[in-house]
Amino acid sequence: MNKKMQLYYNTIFGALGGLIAWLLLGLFPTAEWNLWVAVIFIGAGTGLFIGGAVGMVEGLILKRSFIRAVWGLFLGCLTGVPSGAIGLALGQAGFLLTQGGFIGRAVGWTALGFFLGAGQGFIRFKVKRIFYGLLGGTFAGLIGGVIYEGITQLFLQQSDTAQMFLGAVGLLLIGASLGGVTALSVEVIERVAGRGVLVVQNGPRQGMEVSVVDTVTLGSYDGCEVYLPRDPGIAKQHARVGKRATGFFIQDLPASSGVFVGNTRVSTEQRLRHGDQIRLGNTLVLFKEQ
Amino acid sequence: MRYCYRVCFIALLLCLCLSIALTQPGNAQETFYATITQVDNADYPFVTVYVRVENQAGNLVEGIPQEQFSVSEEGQPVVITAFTPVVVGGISTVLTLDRSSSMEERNKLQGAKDAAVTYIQHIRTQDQVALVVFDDQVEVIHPFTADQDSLIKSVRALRTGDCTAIYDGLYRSAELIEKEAGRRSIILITDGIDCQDIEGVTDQGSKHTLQESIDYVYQTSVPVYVIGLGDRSTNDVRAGINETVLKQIAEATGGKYYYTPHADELAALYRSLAIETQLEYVVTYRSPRPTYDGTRRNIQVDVRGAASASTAYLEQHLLNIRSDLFIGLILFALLVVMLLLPLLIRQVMRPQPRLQPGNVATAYFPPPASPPSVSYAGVPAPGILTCQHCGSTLRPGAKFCSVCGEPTPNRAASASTVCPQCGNPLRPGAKFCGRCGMRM
Repeated sequence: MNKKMQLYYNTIFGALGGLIAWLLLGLFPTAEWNLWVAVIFIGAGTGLFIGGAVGMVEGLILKRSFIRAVWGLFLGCLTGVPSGAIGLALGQAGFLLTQGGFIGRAVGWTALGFFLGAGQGFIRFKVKRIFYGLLGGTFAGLIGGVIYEGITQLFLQQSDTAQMFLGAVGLLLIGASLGGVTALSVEVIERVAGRGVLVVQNGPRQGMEVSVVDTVTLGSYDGCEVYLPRDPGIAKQHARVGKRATGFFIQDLPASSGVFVGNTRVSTEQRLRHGDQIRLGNTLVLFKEQ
Repeated sequence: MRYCYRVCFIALLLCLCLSIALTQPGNAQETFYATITQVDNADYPFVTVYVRVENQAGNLVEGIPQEQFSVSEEGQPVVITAFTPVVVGGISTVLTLDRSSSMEERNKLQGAKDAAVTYIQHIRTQDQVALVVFDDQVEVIHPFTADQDSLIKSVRALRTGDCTAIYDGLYRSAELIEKEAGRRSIILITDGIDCQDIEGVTDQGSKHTLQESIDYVYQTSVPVYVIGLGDRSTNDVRAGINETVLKQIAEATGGKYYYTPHADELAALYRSLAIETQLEYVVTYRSPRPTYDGTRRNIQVDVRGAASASTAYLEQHLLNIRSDLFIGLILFALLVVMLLLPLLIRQVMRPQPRLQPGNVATAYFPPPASPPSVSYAGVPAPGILTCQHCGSTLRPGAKFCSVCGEPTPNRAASASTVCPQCGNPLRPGAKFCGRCGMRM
């Protein structure tokens, strides 16, 4: 699964999450409720579905592991509910404070994106990921909000049906932008910050790309960032690739039966350069610097 | 020719006169000014607008019927669903009482106390009253409060004092009420004789003159309602009443003068104050675009004979959700198609049977224990392969399936048209795969 396809699936899954959120939350007459009760309800619900949908992408599409997908879904839902509720409540407050319009809508959605993005980052339990998720979410919210207001203004005179579509399109946009734009922004930020990419060259996960911004583990355990199953030569936790101020490095982990960079075996740790071929078991992984 | 000019001139003059005469009735009508003080959309899609109508003098106009109001939202005229003129907000009143020695005569102080108590009994919870009394000193007995019992108690406890300093009392009352917001009034209850004005008395009475006090009250734009007590038939300084001064105060400040009013007159005074001070027209309508879209809407209120007033409100929903199964299913189908699209494209792009990736890994790489130099040789490893086409077990090293005749991975490798590892097409005679670097 290369980076472009990961982005694509993130977008589609986010949109699906948004759509399901719209379908289910729309069954409740939230417009007639107290504004703040409705806001917290919709925020939590949106966070639940979109967070869950985006959270399971990695497990489902990249690692293709059912257990990981379920775990991602669970974590996505868990972090999505509070971050969605807080995000939308603050967004609504900002919307009222700025008296609506493009600015108000952008402020409101940015707050929602900020918190949902941070929630997505929490899934990885890494500070850098939270930061990237948060930046990506903010950007996603900003774009989503401006588009939503634009569509609203465009179909201002249309009646109830337009409003219905608008709600659907709105949540779809939030989902898609949280899935896709967050991933895209993370991609951009990672590139600006400088990152390594591991590309699996063969085996069942051929074509899988995983970026290295802090440390990633390669192994046959599905919790590893680079999950390489069905290769008998690969240990549960086989090797570790990481980024330091001085550059990228690869570590051979104790359980492994050896890691090779090019044709030389890594003793304990070795520096990685752009274009290095890493071999573990029967699997080849190409390292690229971006 | 000259005659012709003259006729033209007269005709022009007539036209001018006619046009002036025609426009005159409109100008003659009193001009009102409408102001929107508040918009309440808590009950959206019902929107309530509070309108205040003033005449040129700045007084509130009452009794305008609903027919004279027209409201439009975003340029679209709306149907008014409810219309009520109401009294909103509270009134701040300073009760300024005279307790000078002259008030002892003819039960005047008792009359003043009764008037004050009657007024206090009429106030509502949102109103507030302060109590100022004066003899030759001014004293704020009670600051602003809505507590009727405490106010009445203070009034009842009043005793007469020395000489009268009405103007100082008025001045102090104006100072007190100046800081208050909303509708305000001063009620002055006195016999109107300031010791300043009594001949032969020089060192007693107000430090401020009548004109100073009136000027100051006028500045704060608080009307003074004066209640005069005393015997009109006598000129006696202690028993009588100086109505000239009292009327002057009332008129100059835009208030009114009442002579020894009855209880119901005081009640009427209170009611008129309430109406005059806080009358607003509350107009409710249903938004012509009753959607929860979080957009700003401009409202314009026209009152016949008044310049139109406009304002705007924001529909509050940042995000509104109302679902529809049909639309949902269409969008869902669309997303599912998009989800499956990459798989479909891959199927269409590569119609030929592909190598099973798992098998390739085991097939083309020896066990990990062997040295790396050997592992890239591309020698088929022992292992059971199955035909991609029919699924039957293949002989090790077979290039074609013995059952269906399809080429096997071995055949593909030996033919070397595509890379056995990544499926990339190869140049004839290539020693390495251009995509994955696999050695042929």
